Amino acid sequence: MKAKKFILNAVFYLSFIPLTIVFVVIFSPWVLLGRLVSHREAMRRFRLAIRWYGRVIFFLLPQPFLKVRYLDKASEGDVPKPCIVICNHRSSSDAFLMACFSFEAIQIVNIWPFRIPLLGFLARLAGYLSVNEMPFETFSQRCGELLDQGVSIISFPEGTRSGVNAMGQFRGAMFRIALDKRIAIVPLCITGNEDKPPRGSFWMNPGTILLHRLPTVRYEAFKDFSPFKLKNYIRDIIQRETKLMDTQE
Amino acid sequence: MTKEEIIRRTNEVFAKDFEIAADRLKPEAQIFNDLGLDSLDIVDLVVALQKQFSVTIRDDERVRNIRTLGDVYDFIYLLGQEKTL
Repeated sequence: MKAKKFILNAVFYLSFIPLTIVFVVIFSPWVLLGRLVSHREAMRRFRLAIRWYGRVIFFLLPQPFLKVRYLDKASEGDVPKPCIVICNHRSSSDAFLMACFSFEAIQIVNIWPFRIPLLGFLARLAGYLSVNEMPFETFSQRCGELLDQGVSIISFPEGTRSGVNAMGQFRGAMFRIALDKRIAIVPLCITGNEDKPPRGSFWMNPGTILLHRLPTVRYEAFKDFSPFKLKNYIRDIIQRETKLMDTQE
Repeated sequence: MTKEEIIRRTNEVFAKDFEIAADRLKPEAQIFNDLGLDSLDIVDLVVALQKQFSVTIRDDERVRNIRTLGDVYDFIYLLGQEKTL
């Protein structure tokens, strides 16, 4: 186990920085060429590149010591676009795991990810938002503009990594926006990554991360809910599933 | 208004506006951690309490010190006392 952990971390961290640089070098011209078409096209390419980067970094690079299994439990074909994805949040690796989706999206992040060298800069450039950096009205307006462009929004409403199996209370900002803009909610449950890496550490542990995408909760199903009721409704759905997933590991 | 009346009517707000079950409405319950309200919900709570008790809370700095449901009871009670003075 110790050898596996050593190899995993050695391969991951020795490759992480060079791969990041390679991605930036390869994709920058492609993204910038999109600017010749329109700003919107450049942003679409940029977010697509981030998705590919996430897939390589977290779905491919740590193999075979760290596996990611994505299960679509919705059985309803494509995710409605745009949508608001709501996830539980146990680890900093969650941001990379969002590469499991194949649609254009930005993430709602805390302030600290923006401070990560290069990645923070790129995240901000890609339109990632921090609810803690602006009044709710401004945040809501920015989210509305992105949704109007067809860009989905991924949110971790616990606000911070729990680091453990227990789930924190949800904050309601994205649920208010879902109600206001009549946007469908896609619940995503993540388990097995609470130690990949653990909170306060960079050391990854071998194992399997499970991602379960649950059926979409459409606006018609929650249009009469208050924001408070909606956030707890979605939280209950995610909590039920993650408890099941934790027992499966 | 008696303290019991304030507790009953405050709990009514939490039950009606936030659909929180009566057995969770204990004085020691933390507004954020136990009852699950966030800063935006607090705005809704303030509006609902103002309506329920016909008081002005919005600009009262003491709202920031409220942590538990018991603090809400005490705060409303205090406002009632100040109003009658």
